[in-house]
Amino acid sequence: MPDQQKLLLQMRGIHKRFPGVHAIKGIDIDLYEGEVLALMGENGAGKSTLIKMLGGAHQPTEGTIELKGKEITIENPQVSQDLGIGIIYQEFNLIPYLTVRENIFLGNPKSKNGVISKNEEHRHAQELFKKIGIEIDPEVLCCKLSTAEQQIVEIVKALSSEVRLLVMDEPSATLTPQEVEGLFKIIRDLKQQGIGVIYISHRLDEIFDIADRVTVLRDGEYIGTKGINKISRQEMIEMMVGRKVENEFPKHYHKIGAPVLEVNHIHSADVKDVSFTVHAGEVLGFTGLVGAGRTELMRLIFGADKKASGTIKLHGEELNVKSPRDAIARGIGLLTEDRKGQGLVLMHSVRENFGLPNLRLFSKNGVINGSEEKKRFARHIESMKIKIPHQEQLAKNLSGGNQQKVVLAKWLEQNCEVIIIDEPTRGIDVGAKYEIYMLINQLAEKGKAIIMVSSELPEVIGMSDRIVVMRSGEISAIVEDAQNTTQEILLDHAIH
Amino acid sequence: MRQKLSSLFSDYGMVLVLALLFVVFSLTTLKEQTAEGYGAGQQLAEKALNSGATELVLVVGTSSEDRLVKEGLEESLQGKGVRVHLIAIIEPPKAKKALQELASTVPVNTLIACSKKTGNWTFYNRVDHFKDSEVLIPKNETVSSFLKASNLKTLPDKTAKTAIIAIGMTMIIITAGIDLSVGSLVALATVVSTMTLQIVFGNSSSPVLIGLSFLAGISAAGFCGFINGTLSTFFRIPPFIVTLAMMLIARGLALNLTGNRTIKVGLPDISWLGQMPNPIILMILLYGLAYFVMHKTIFGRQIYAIGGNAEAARLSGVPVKRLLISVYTISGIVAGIAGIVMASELNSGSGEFGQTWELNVIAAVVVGGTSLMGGQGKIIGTLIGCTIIEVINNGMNLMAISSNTQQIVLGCVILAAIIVDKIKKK
Repeated sequence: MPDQQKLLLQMRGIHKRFPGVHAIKGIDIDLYEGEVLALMGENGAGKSTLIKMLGGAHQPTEGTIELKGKEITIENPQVSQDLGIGIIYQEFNLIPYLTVRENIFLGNPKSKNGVISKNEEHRHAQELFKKIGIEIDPEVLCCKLSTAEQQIVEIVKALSSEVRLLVMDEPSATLTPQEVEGLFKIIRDLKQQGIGVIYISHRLDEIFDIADRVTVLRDGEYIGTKGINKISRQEMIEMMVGRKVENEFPKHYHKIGAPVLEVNHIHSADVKDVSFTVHAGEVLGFTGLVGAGRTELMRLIFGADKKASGTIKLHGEELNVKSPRDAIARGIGLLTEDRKGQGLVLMHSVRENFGLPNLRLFSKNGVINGSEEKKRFARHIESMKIKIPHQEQLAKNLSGGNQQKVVLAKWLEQNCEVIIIDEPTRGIDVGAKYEIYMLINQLAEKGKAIIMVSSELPEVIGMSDRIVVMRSGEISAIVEDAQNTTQEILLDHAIH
Repeated sequence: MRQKLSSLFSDYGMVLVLALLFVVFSLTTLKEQTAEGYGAGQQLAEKALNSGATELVLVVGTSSEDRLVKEGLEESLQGKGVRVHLIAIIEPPKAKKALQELASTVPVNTLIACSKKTGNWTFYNRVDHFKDSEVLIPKNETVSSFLKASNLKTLPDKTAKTAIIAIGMTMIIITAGIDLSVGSLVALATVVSTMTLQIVFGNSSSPVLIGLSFLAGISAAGFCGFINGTLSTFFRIPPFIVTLAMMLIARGLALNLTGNRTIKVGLPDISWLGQMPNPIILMILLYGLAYFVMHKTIFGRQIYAIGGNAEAARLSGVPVKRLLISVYTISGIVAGIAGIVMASELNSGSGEFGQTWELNVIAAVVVGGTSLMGGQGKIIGTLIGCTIIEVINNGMNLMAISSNTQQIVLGCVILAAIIVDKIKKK
């Protein structure tokens, strides 16, 4: 197929050296018009750096970039935009208290003599939304939009100027399966118009769905490029990880114990009459669309938000949890979905993060025993194989997988009986995912009751004993036999 | 060892700045001191003060030059509690006689100060009564007025009060908050403590009652801090606004209580706390305590966590609201302590005290390397920051730089401190 198509982007022998780090080591990339190229690789493989070069945030130390056969230098983001390169970064860059229209035209407002022409912008924005077949009022404030809608605004923003090449960095990370389907429809339309798309995602299912070819990077090096029909899921993982991978979901099934946590008729603004039980040694999966109330439910159990009514029992005894402090004291731990925003104090050391909920365990009269803290943390570093140069490493400098392990260490030191993990592998690369799954197995074997909230259906099916499906704040189904269910069955419960 | 040194510099790079400032001011305030005229008198006075004398005999001639020496000495010693016995005679024998006559009225070996001319006379130590007297003779010499002991001694005195307040401010800024009310709380504490002593305890000189009135001043300020903390946590009002309001309320209250007058405490008893080196000792004790609390206790660790990420801290079981209230209360209490030090120093209380101190204190904390974004900062850095600002003020005063220009320089110093901090983080 590429033979008949025109080459849009050609990157040759790209190197990037930062002080002390050789981040990109000779990468070649070809992108044809009307093609979706998936860029794959674990965290730290160099994908982001590569994209930032296209966006003008970084310049290559070595190598050439050609756009439509013409060599270009992208000195800054403005040049990138003028060349017709649109980039949608992983983190949204929308300003919450500006309207959709104002956000779309923030960089290049339509104006006459310095006065913004609102009507012109409004008309243009509506046209763009029509073109991709989605209706969003351009005059609505961005903070009122759902995550999926914000994602669409980002796309429209990128398309508002003449775009020939669109880069999307994990656009689906916060989207539900349904919304991802909508996104793919847009991407297929863009292909029709001859726009070249570079698509980055950790979700392999999506890659096989949308991409034409795959380029795999590892540790800043170019590993290879394959047509999507010529590669299997297994092969792709192996190219990324650099070794043989036996099993994506290494679930251990074993005997489930007595009930530990019983939730009865719990109610709040976002959660309606939810009841369920978790047993010792059980992994109870929670899935559903974004906004189904899963995270909100977990926050109620953990005391982070106030519940309106309902009871929570631990070992048959009713709990009166008013704050996370109470929940922790009773042996409940929560690993939040937003690890950076809520799970860690990024600017502090991993040791301090580990210590935060556990200070009382190694202090006397309020005075911390620093060496005891180090000793205890060292045990977890050892047993969980946390990769850090030293305990004073700042949390922000860790990879997603290691960050997740540090958060887990916090709750293991507390000896929590109930561990709630919200999106255990979000933003974590393939190799580290496997380790996180193994840790979940170990915890279950030790008899912990585990609640695992996840939007990734293969993960929920692959790692749970039972699965609870939520829909608009309610439980729509409890699947007793997770081993023999399918994504279609779960989706069906989640949607209807 | 080397690693320790380098980490000391990266943590407290401000120490280097401070050292540099000492060198700069030592050099820029170098002055030629003459052995004649008014300057000679000043020089003698300085030396006399350094020797700790309470009485001295000044022997000068009758020339106009020597009269200037006398004026310089007397004016420099004014109010310093040194008695001067003057002998102004041109002929040595008569002068010797006058000295012998003085023997009956001054203590043995009283210090003798001369002008350049009378310094050539040799009979002083031959008079029995002055056999071992020290004889001061003015000399031509180059001295740095910054490095003079008399100047250096005033430095910590001025630093102590702002440094004490800065302890609370550092804690608050580490939680990503701010406290604009501290200057007003200083005034309130001086007023409440002096009025309590006067009105409630009838100007008693009992140390217990003085202590209680001090406690009343500290409690008043601490209570205001408690209100700051409570309002900003329970109603989620930004601390900037709450403490701005408290700044106005406390100042107005202090002025109203006194009816715009200064409350003078007649008895000298309360001046004990304000006398050197007591404020310094108090400051050092408080810094020691604050260092321990911030770096070794659960309380301190949790305060850093709140500033770093309040939500993550709450989800880790940190009682965020309770801690924030404590921190604002502590800030009120230390402002109150600075207030009673001030009341003691000046033997008075007034609603006018402590104006704009909050700004100096915030500046010192920032210069000391604490991030206004919260989560990062060091208590010792703040102490260094306070010293830096005081040294700059003092040095500029000695260089006779106008107060307008001093403000410009201080503004630039604050900006420089923040820029350096930003660069360091990159």
